Amino acid sequence: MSVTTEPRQASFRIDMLWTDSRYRSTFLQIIALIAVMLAAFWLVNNVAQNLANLGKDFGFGFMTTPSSYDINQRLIDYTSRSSHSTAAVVGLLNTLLVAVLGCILATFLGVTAGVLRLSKNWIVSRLMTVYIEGVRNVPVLIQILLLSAILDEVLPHPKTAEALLGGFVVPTNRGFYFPIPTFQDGSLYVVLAFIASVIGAIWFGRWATRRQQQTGEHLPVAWIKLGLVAGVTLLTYLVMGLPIGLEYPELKGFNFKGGIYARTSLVALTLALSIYTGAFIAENVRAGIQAVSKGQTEAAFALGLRPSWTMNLIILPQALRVIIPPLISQYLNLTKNSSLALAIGYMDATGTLGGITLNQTGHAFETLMLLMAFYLSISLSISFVMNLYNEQVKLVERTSVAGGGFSVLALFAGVNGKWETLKKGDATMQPNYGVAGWLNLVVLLYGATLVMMLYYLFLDQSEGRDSYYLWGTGKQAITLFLTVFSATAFVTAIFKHYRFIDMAAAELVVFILAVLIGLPFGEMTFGLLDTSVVVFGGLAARLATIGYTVFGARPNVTYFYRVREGSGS
Amino acid sequence: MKTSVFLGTLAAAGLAAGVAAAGTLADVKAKGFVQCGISTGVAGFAFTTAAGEWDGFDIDICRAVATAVFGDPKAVKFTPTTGKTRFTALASGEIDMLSRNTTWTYSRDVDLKLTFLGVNYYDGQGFMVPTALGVNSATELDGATVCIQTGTTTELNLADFFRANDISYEPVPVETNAEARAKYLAGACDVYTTDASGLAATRSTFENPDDHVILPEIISKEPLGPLVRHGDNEWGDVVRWTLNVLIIAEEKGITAANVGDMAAAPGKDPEINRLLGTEGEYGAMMGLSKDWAAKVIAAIGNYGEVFEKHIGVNTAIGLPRGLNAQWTDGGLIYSPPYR
Amino acid sequence: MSSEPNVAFVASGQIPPSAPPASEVGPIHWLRANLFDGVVNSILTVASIVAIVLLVPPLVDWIFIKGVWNAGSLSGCREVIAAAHGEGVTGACWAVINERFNQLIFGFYPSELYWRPILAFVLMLAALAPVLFSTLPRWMLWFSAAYPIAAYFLIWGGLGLEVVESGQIGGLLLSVIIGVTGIVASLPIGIVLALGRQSSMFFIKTICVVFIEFIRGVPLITLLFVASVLLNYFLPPGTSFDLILRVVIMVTLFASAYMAEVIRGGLAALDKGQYEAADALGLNYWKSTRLIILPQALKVSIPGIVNTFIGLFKDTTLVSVIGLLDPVGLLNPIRATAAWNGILWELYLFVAVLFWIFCFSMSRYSMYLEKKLKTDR
Repeated sequence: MSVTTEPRQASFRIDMLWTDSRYRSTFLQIIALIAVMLAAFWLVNNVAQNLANLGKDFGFGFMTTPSSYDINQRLIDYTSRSSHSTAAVVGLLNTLLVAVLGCILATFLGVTAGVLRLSKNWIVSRLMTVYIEGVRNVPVLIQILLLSAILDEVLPHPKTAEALLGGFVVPTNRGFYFPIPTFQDGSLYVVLAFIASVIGAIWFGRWATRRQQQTGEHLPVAWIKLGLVAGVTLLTYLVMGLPIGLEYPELKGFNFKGGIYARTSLVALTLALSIYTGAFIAENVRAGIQAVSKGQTEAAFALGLRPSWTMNLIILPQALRVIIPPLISQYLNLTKNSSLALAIGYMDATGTLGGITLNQTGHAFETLMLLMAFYLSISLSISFVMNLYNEQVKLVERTSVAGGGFSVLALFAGVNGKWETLKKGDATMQPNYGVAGWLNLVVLLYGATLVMMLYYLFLDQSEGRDSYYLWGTGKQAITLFLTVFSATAFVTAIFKHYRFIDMAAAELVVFILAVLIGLPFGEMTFGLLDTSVVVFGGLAARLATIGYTVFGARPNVTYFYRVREGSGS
Repeated sequence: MKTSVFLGTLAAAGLAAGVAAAGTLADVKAKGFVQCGISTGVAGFAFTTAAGEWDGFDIDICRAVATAVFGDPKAVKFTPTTGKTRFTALASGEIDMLSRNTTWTYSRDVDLKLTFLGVNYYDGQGFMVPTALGVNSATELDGATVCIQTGTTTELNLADFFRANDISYEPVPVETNAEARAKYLAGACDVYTTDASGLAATRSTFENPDDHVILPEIISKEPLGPLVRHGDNEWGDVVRWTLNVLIIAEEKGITAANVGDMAAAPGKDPEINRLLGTEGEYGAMMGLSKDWAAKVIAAIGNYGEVFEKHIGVNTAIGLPRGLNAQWTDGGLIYSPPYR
Repeated sequence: MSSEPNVAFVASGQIPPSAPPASEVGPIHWLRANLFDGVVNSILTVASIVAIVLLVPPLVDWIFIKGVWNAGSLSGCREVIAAAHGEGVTGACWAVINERFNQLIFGFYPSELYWRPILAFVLMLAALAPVLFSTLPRWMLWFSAAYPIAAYFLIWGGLGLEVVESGQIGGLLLSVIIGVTGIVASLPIGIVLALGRQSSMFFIKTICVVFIEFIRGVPLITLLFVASVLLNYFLPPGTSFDLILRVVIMVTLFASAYMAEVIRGGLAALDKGQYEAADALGLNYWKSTRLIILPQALKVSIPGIVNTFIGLFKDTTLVSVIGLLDPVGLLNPIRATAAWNGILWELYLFVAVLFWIFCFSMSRYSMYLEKKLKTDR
C-alpha cells in the first residue's frame, strides 16, 4: 500500500498575481506603468485643454523679447533692452553668487560655532548654544526680513557714511563699498610673478613632504611658502614701480562711485542664509567631532601631539567623513533657500525669471518650468558630486564594492586584462585623492568644453544669432547633452571615478553628433580658434584621453582602489 | 484637520466644477457670494481693521458688486492676491472679479485675456524725494537710488523713463509698500516711486510729511479699475454698471443718506428714477432686482463718499480729487448715461 | 644597633592635609579652568562678556522698560514713551501685538468661535499622545484615527456648527493647519515612496527615485508658485480649488519626499536579520512589511519625523509669498493700516518668538525621543 504523492501542479489563480513572488513583481510594475501613463496623459490633456480655453500658447518665444526692466546687480552686460533670457541668466548668476558666498561664510560660521560649542570655556560654549538654538528654530524668511531691516536702519546714509579699516570698507545702508584694484602698465609681470611663486611654493611643499617622509626632518613649510610668495611678488611689484593700485569709492552725487559695491540685499541675504545654515552646520560639526572616539584623542596625546595638531591631524580627518555628507546637504538647502531673495528684492533667478518675467509676460508655465529645471540641475550636480565623494571616503567593510551597471570598461576586459576590485587591506590599495599627472590635461579639456558650451548657451549675445529657445529640438537636445556630458566627464575626472570612461565615451558620441549637425565650434571659442581646429583637435584629444585612461600604464582612474590586475603600483 | 480636508473640499470643488460651465453671474448667484480678489494691503485701498474685516477703496467696489447682486454688502469673500498671483487667480476662476489697483494696459487686456470694466481711480507714477535733497525735477535724479515695488507696471515705466532721458539710476526692488516705506525713511533709497496716490498715502503716514516732496513729473498713465475674465459679458456688465452707478449717484447728488427718500417715490429727474428703480425695469435687463442701484448706494454711498471715506483729503491719506473729480468739475470721472 | 638617639625628630602623628591653593578650588579655580584657560580662551571670554554687556542691556531697556503695551496707534505709543521717558527716546510698541494678537493667532476667524480651533488644537495633542507615548493604552489610537474628521468639522464648521470660510483662516492657525496636515498626509505617501525606493522592481524604484529627487531638488517656493498659479492647469477645465487646499496638496507632496528619506533611514537602520527572520517565518512581503519591518522602522524614524515637521512648520511661513495670511503674511495688511504704518521690529520679533517657542519645544522633544529610543535598543 504505497501512496505516491505527486507534487500538485499549482494552477494559476488570479490572486497569485499579488501573492506569488514569481508574478508579483511583473504584475505590480505593469500596474504602476499603466497608472503613471494614465496620470501623465490626464495631466497633459488637462493642461492642453486649459491652455486652449484661455487662448494661451505654449512656447519659449517670449524669452527673446526685450525684458523692459532693469536689474541692479548684474554680473554680465544687461540693459532693459536685453532679452528675458539674458535677464534670466543675470538672475541665475546672482543665485550662484549668493549661494557660493553663503556656503563659504556658513561653513566658516558653522565650523567655528561647532568647535566653540565643545570648548571648555563655559561662557563661550553657552553663547554658541544660544546662537545655535536661537537661530535654528526661527523661520529663515523672518530672519532674512529682520536682517535686511536691521541693515537699513542701523547703517548710515551715504552722506554721513565713514570709511572703516583705513578706507577698506565703506558701510552704508545701501551697501558696502570696497576699493577695487586698478592695473597699470607692468602689472602683468606682477601677476605672472605671483602665479610663478605660487607654483614654486606648491612644488616646494611637495618636495618638503617627500623629504620629511624620507628623513623625518620637519621644515617650517608654511613660513617658507609665505615668504616665497610674498617676497617674489612684492619684489616684482616694487621693481615694476607699483603698477597695481587701489581705487577707493568716493561720494559723488547721490551715492558712492567706484570700487566694488555689495548691495544691502546681497549682504543681508548672504548673512541671513549663512547665519541660519551655519547653526545647522555647527550641529553637524559637533556631532562629527563627538563621533570620533575619545581614545583617538588620548592616543594622540600619548604620542605627544599638541592639542592643535591632534585636532588637525587626528580628529578632523576622521570627523570629516561624518561631517561632509550632511554639510553638502546643508549647502543644498542654502542654495534652495536663496530663492527667498524675492522677499527683500535681491534679483536672483526667482526674482527675474520667476518674478518680473513671469509677471510681465504671463507665461507662468514656461517660466516656472525653466526655474525648476535650474534649481533641479544645481541640486542634482551637488548630489552627484557628493556621491562621488562619499564613494571615495567610505570605509570599505566585509564586502568589496563593485560598480553596478554596464560600463564601457567591460568591453576592454578581454583586450586589456581583467579589472579587479581590491579589498581593504590589499597591498596594492593606494587611495588617490585629487588630480595628478596627465589627468590635469584631461580635466582641462572637459572644463574648457564646459565653459565654452555654457558661454555659448547663455551668455553669447552677438548679433544675428538665434537664441537657444528658438532652435530646433534636435539641436537644442544635442547642445544640452554635450554640456551635461562634458560637465559629468569634468567632475568624474576630478574625482578619478572609473565612470569617467563612460562619461568620456558618451561625450565623444555627442561631440561627433554635434560636429555632424554643424554646431559652430569656431564661434564658441570666442573667435580664437578655427572651426576645423576645434573639431579635429577636439576629436583627437578625446580619443587620446579615452585611450590613455583605458590603456595607460598606471591605474589613473580608480574606483575605490579598483585597479587593473597585475599593474600594481 | 487631516485627510478629511481633502475629501470635504474635493467634494465642494466637484460641485463648483459642475456649475462653472454656466456664466459667472449665474455661478455667483448660485453660490451666494462674490469672490473678490484684492491686494494684500495698500493704505487706503485695502487694509484690515482690528475686527478682522477688510476695508478700503478697492474693497468697497467688491462690496458694491455684492450689494448689486444680493442686496447685501457682506455677501462677498476676499482673496488676497499678490502681483504674481492676481491674473492667474482670475483666469483660473478662483476669483470672480479683481479689484486690486490694477492698471489697464493693452497687453493685459488683449494678451492676458482680461476685461477691464472702467476706471475707479486715475493714477500716474510719480516720485517722492526728501526735501533736503533739493531736487526739483525727476530729470535731476542721475545716479540716484530708487525704491520700486516689483510685480507692477511701475518698474517698466521707470526703466523706460530713465532710458528715454538717458540718465542712470540704481533700482532697489521691494516686495511691499510697507517695506518700501521703511527703506525710504531709513535713507536706503533717495527716491520712492510708485503711483502718485500711493506716494501721497505713504507720505501722509510719515512723522514729518513736510520733509518730503512729490516731484511734479508724472511719468505714466495708470488707470486703475476692476476687471473680470474675457468672454463673460453678463457678469462684466454687472461689475461695470455697479461702478457706473456709484459715479452717476455722485453726479446726481444721490448719497447714502438721501437715497432712501429719493427711491421712495419717483422724482423730477427721469435718470434718477431709472437708476433707483422707480421707473422702468432696468435691473431686470441684467438679471438683477429693480432697486439694485438704490441698494448699492444705500449700502456703500456714492463714488464721492467712498473716495472721501477712505482716501479723501480728510483722511490720513489726504488725496485731493484731482483727475478723479467728476467731469462736471473738470475731472475724468464720467459714466455713460443710465438709459 | 639602635639608631634612635641619632634621630632628631620622629613624627608621632600625621600632619593634617593643608587646604589646596586658592587657585585650585572654588570659584577662582572654576574661573581659571573654564574662562581664563590660556590666552585664546581669555580673549574669547572677554570678547563674549563685552558683547553681552553691549547688546543685552539696551535690548532689555527697549523691549521691557520702555515698551508700551496700551496705545491705539504707533503715534499713541510714541506719545506715551515721550511722556514717560522724555522726547526722542525710543521703545518697543507692543500695543500693536496687544491689539492684533488674536489676528496673528487666528487670522480673521470669527472671535466668538475661537473655542473651536483651540479645542481642535487640544484634541490634536490628545490624539498625538498615544502615537508618541507608547505607555498609553492602545484603544486611544482609535481616537487618533477619528481625530482628522473631528478637526475638519471643528475648524471649517458643518454638522450644525457655523461654517467658517477658508479665507477667514489665517495667522498661526493657518501655519499649524498646513504643517500638521502636510506632515500627517505625507506619512502614508512617504512610507509607500520609501518602500518603493527600496524595491527591487526597477520601474517602481525609478518612479519613486525620480519623484523624491525632483521634489527635494527644487525650493518649496517654486512648488508654492505652482500651487498658486499652475495647479489649476493640471486639473480638468472648470475645477477650482481653494488656495489653502492647493497649498496643502503641494506641501504634502513636498513633505512626503522628505518623509520618504526619513523612513528610508529607518528601514536601513533595521538589522538585516529582521528581514531574514520574517522570510524564515514564511510571511509574505505585505505581512512581513506590515508586522515586522514597518513597526520597527517607524519607531526608529520618529525623531526624524519630528525634525521634518519642525522644518515644514518653519517653511509654512513661505505661504506669505503667495498671498496667504499666515503670521508673516499678516504683517503687511497690519502695517498698511493707518494706525500702525511704520511699525517694524515689534511684529517681526513677535512672530520670530512665536515660531521659536513652537520649534524649540518640539526639537527638545525630538532629542528626548532620540535618547529614549537609544536606551531601548
